[in-house]
Amino acid sequence: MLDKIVIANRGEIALRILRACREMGIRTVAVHSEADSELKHVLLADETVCIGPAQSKDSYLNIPTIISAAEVTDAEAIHPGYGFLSENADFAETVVESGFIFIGPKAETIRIMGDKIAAKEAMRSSGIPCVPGTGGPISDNANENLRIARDVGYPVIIKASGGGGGRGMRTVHTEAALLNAINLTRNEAKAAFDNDTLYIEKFLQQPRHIEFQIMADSYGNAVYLSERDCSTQRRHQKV
Amino acid sequence: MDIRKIKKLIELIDESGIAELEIVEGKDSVKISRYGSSANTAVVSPPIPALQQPAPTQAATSQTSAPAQEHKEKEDEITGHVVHSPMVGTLYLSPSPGAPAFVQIGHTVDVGDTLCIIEAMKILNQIDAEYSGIVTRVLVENGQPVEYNQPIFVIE
Repeated sequence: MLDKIVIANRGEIALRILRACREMGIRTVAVHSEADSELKHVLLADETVCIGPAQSKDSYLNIPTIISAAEVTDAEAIHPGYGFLSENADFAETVVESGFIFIGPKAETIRIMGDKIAAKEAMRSSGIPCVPGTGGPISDNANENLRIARDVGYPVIIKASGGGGGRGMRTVHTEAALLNAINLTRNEAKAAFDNDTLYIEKFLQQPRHIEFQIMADSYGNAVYLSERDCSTQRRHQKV
Repeated sequence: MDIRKIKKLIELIDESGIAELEIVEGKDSVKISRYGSSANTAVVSPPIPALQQPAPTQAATSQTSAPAQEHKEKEDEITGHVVHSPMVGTLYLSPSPGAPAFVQIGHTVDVGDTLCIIEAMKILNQIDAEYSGIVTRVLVENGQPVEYNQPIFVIE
């Protein structure tokens, strides 16, 4: 069992991690920004390290400062919580390269699943059916894209491969709107995710969107933590 | 752990000269601290759920923030510029083990002079003075871990 970990987050998730550590006898290091030095999990942690000013980019999203905090406190592992750097493959990789355990998936897994085209490809090669659409990214060729959309069949949805949080997606119901929609989505994707790779798939109009939460450990054990109905959405995000 | 037991423990502390008492019984633990002449506070921490009263923060040991609190008190008394650590890492007062320190109390520095090294992720970062003047306080020890914005020197 781990002896000491860094909690690289704040708010309710930091508190939950701290509580779990208490139950398991793991010592905690709370890293926090200057503005968060009085947060409950900081007050309750065994050790604390101020890692930067209030702005997230200089503190909770600052990879070197979090790794340094783990170094100076001799922690063994870093728990990223959710949001912030938890789905950042570079962070996961840097944590491991610096000699710490990243409490989460492998960097490679984060990379595959974070890129939607790669994720679909991984599913297909495992024999899992996916929503019909382009296998890979679409080009800038207008005629090619018109043909693709016709083959998939309207309505289609244009999605940013590096997108997330329901953003970088646009539905297209008629051929007349397609090329403009592709341009707009490409620009949005570039601005929001610094990645303008797009793909097209069929837009399902009244689907049931069910998610299964799966957790696996490094010994090959896996469990599913029941399903979640995500059919009701606002701006493409589950409510 | 029931309330009568805790009451007994509080009475015990009252009668004795003990400042702080912590008892761990299996998964239950109680920590009672005395601060000031008559104020006693009891913190009960069962594993699930955590029915903790807002406990005095001094009860939880905090290695790196304790020196920071101390330094804040010192800061009130001093004049001149306080140099704060710009990063998290291990602070060294000399360029290498055994070598003389970059600066000492009484040393005159100019803007740009190296004050110390902070090591992080195997990189040694030189911390240079932003003010010129005389070093009046060295607030850290050689090899001490420092956090962001921790006061490390005073230059007047």
